[in-house]
Formats: sequence, C-alpha cells, structure tokens
Amino acid sequence: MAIIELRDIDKIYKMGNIEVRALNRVSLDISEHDFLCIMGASGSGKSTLMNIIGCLDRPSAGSYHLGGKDVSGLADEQLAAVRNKQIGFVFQTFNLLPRISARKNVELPLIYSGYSAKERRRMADIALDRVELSDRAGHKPNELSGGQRQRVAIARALVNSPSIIFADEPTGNLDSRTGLNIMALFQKLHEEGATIVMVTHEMDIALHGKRIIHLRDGQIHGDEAVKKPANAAAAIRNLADLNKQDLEEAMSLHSNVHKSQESVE
Amino acid sequence: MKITEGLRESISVMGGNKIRAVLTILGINFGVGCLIAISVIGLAFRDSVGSEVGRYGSTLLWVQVDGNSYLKGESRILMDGRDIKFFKQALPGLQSSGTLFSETYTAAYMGESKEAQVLGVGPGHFEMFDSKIEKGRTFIEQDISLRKRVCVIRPDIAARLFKDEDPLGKVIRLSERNYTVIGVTERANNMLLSDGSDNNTIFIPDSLVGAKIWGGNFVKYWIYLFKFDSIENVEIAEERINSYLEKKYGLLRDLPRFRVQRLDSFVGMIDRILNIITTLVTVIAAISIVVGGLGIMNIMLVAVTERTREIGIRMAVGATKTDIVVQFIIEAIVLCLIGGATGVFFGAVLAAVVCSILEWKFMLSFVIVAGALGISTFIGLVFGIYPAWKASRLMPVEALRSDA
Repeated sequence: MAIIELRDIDKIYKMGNIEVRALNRVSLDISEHDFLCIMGASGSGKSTLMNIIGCLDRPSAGSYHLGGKDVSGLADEQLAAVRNKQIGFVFQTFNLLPRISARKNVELPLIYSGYSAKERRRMADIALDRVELSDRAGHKPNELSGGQRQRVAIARALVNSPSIIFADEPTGNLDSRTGLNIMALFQKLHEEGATIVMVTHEMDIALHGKRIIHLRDGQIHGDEAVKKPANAAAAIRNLADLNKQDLEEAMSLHSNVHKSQESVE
Repeated sequence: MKITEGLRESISVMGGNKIRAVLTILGINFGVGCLIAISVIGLAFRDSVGSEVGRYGSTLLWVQVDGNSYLKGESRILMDGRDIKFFKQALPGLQSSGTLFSETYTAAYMGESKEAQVLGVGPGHFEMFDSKIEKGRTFIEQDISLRKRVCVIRPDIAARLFKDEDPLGKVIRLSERNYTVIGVTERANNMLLSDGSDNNTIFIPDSLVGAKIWGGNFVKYWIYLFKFDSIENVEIAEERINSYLEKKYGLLRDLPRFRVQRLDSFVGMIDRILNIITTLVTVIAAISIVVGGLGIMNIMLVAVTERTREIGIRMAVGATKTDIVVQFIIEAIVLCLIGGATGVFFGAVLAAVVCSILEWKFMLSFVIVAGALGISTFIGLVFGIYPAWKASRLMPVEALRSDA
C-alpha cells in the first residue's frame, strides 16, 4: 500500500523575472516500510522534492496524498501538525538547537504535541536509547561528535513515532566510517518497521536502501529496486576484524567520499 | 505551545545573553521605577498633608499684608491692636490666636553663646502649631500683657547653652536684656506647616518683640493667625475679616491690602502643585517606557533574524505559526516584566528613602505594583507582536536555509 502518492508535482521558484522549474510533473508512489533513496546531482531537484514530500514546502501544482489524505491543500497549521506527528526529519547539518541538551533537543517535537514534561523526558530517553546515546543525554550539541549529533537528530526524528523518516544527506557532514554507522542505524530502524526516504548523491550510500530513484532536471529518470542492499552493520564488523593495513584498504572502498569537515553549529 | 514552555525558553535565551537582556530592559526599568517612586511619594505626601491638616483640624486661618498689592518701596499699612481686639470680639468660635515676629539675636549664658532665631508669639501659639512642652510651661496671658521677660526654648539651643544643667529658671541674655527660661519644648518635627522655627529657636512674648520692633507700646502686626472650632466659623471669619479690613483701610488700586488664607485652601494649592509634578514625572516615565518598548522591539527583531534557523528547526518538527508567535511574544513580555519588576524594586527603594528622610509614611499598595507589572506586560505584548509575526511568516524551508 502506498503511503505517499505524488501526482504531477510541479515546483516553480520565481527569482526576479526568471522562473526556475525545480520539479517538472513528478509522480511517485512510496509504499509503507520502504527504504527509498533519491539520487541526483546538485540542482537536480532532489532536495526540493524531499521538502515537498516532507511538508516543509508546498508544490506549485499537482496533488500529494500522505497516508491516503490530501495534504497539498492543507493550511499552515495543519501542515505543522502533519510534520509533528507523521514525519521525522534528519538533516545534513543536524540542525540541533545549540543552547539546550541532547535530551531537550529530542523532546522538541513533543513540546508541540502537548506532552507533559515528565512524559516528554520518558519518551526522549527511549528514543535516545534506540540510537544508543543514553549516556550522552545531558550533553549539549557542541560537546558531542558529529556522529553523536546525528544520532541525537535521528532520535528527535523518531521520538514522536512518525510514519516516515526523511533524511537529507544524513552522512554528508560525517567521515565515511561514522557515516557507515549512521547507515547501520537507519537499516536497523528500517528492519524495526520504519519507512525511510533518503536524499543522497553517493551511490554507495544509496545502495543501503531498497529502492533508488534518479532525478535529473526536476524529472524522474529511472526507478530501480536494489536487489541486495549493502549491509552497513556487517561492513562495520568486517572493518573491525581487519588489521590496520587492511582497514585502510577497506576504508578506501568507502572513501570516494570526501572527508568533509564537521560543521560547527 | 504551553506558556510554561515559552517561559522556560525565554529564560534560557536570556541566560545565554545576559548583558543584552540587561541593556534592553533599562528603558522599561527606568520608566516603571519613576512611576512607582512618584506614585508612592505622592501618596505619602498626601497622607502627611492629610494627617497634618487633621492635626490642625484645617480650621487654621491667617491674615497677612498682601505684598503683591504694593509697589516697590511703597510703605505698607499694618494691622494694629484695635483690629485684633475687634477680631477677637467679632469672630465666633475663635479658639486661639497669635502673631509671629522673627529676629536673630545672639543668645548667651555663662560664657556660652549662639546665634539664634527669636520668635515673638502669643499664648495660643504652641497649641496652634502643636508644639509640646517637655519641661516647664508655656506663656500665659500675664506673661504677654505684663511683658514679662520670660522665654521658652527649643531643645538644641538648650543643650548648647546649658549642657547638662536644668535650664528652667536660668537667665539667658538676648540683645542686652535678660530673659528667664520657663519652658523647654519637645524636638520640632519636620512638618509641612510650621511657624518657621527650628530646634535652635527661642520663643518670647510677642508684645516684647513688637515693642522692640515698633519702638513703643503701640504694637503692629503684619501677620495674625486664628484657630477656630469649626470650618463654618472659618468661612464666617474669612468674610468678616475681609469686609472689615476693606472698609477700614480701603482698596489699593482696586486690590485688597490684606490677604486672608485658610489652611484648607492652602492644602488645595499644594495638592495642585503636586498634581503638576506628578503629571510631569508621569509623562517622562511614559516616554521612557515607550522608548524602552521600542528598544525591546528592536532587540526582538534582531533575535528573530539571529534565530531564523532555530525557527526553521522548530517548524520542521511541528511548531505552528501560532507557536512561534507565542514564543516570541512571551519572550518580549518576560523582558518587559523583568524590567518592570526591577523598576518596581528600585522605585520602591527610592520612595522608601525619600519617605524616611521626610518622615512620611511609606505605603506601597498592591494596586500600584500590579498596575506597573500590568503596564510592563502590555508594553511587551504591543512591541512584541510585530517581531513575533515576522518570525512566524517564514516558510520552514526558507528558515532552514538561513546561515544564521
């Protein structure tokens, strides 16, 4: 059953007098319990697509049904409720609030769903436990490593038990090994039943999913199933078994990825 | 978003930027402080006037030469003993009366000397001005009529001249003549209405000073005070004195030569002056509060720009536009309330200091405090709405794209 149904979605940005067509009649079905990766070069419209599916932005034209409900015509307040209850976001730059602790960051969506402080804390602790970060709950984001920050962000996405998790280049700001850990976490969540939509421009990251669509110039150019998804957890185990020389070799397999600097929030 | 969450957020934001918060609230702080101080001091002042008027019963009246009617250097007509005699007969309900003559002499006793104000007064004087005698007695009718050389002294001059000795019955020298001390008063309080005496004043019978000033037996008066039993009799007296003096001495260029003043109208005049001062301070405070509010608005606009990404994050996890508006308005209100509360504190401290110096009763009413905090909340609301609305207008994607 399709949890997401997009029909003829257009997105047009106006920049002065010039109109930029970021999405051009995109139609897409995403079924429940899918692990979809959206690939494409920068400027292909993949982030725009994800922002629209994630209800962060509105399409210029076309219809969008989320869980059988038409959300393209919803008012701002209702869209906020959809983002709050049905959608979890993970961003490339983590987007944690720097002032407050990891736990408080995870609690953030719950504030807007009206849970009591006690209930929020309990739920946040469960979510942090799922990303194996219970021991860092009291730390502020700047006291955590990049991978830990992304785990906090994932816990925040999970905390309200959303029907879909969206991840926009979640490994883009992490080194390849940490990235692999994050992918292992996503795969674990997927096995536990989560529906995941991930934007990436790296094929070896995308290969961890079950399905890949390619976007070019705002249109879908290819939609393929991954026959045998890469197993991130197994890759990490293999890495751990290798000696140093082999480790470097193994790392290089993953390191067509540039080692990006962790951005400081 | 619940109010409590908003409050918690605001406090955490302010904690992260204390200096900015303090500078921002100064305007509100000053304005509210002024308002509190002036209202408390005004209240205390009215209370003290009220209690003094209560003490004098507001039935005090005095008649004096109206200097405004005369040209410079023009000789003035004064009241004489016959006028006073007439008043004493013609005015119903008169309880006591007297006049004031003031001179400065050197007072000496056994080698100690001190410049002192010498006040010539009638027998009713101490009762009229509520000066209590601590030791000895006040003047009686014979002291005045027989022009006895006696005096009543204030405690400071007593201490200065007599040290530890008992001054009663001792003789002090004033202007080449000897006076026997018959009484010592209590310390003079800092009263609104006074006879002009201080704690170094020496009182002698007015007949003596009058005779000294006018050089003979025929004493003249430039001011004379009356105290009556009821306000009706004060009104009768005012009318009779005016018509008597006008008939006897006539008008000067269509202006009366004498002015009759009542304590109750005097109080009304003081009240009007106080009202003007209150209005002025209130205007200054209002301007300060509004300027403070603009400062709050300015800093809130800066905060919205700085925290665009935070707004985006909050929207992405489900905050509605209303949530964002509420959060920023609460933040503005909390800033104003902190300014207001500290303003209440500083204003109250200032008022307490003034009241204690002037020996007025310090009263801080709940209504004043609640009013000040209410105004602060209102200012926060008014000047917080625009920045909050601006914050909520962003689309989540745009807000997240921000580099801030």
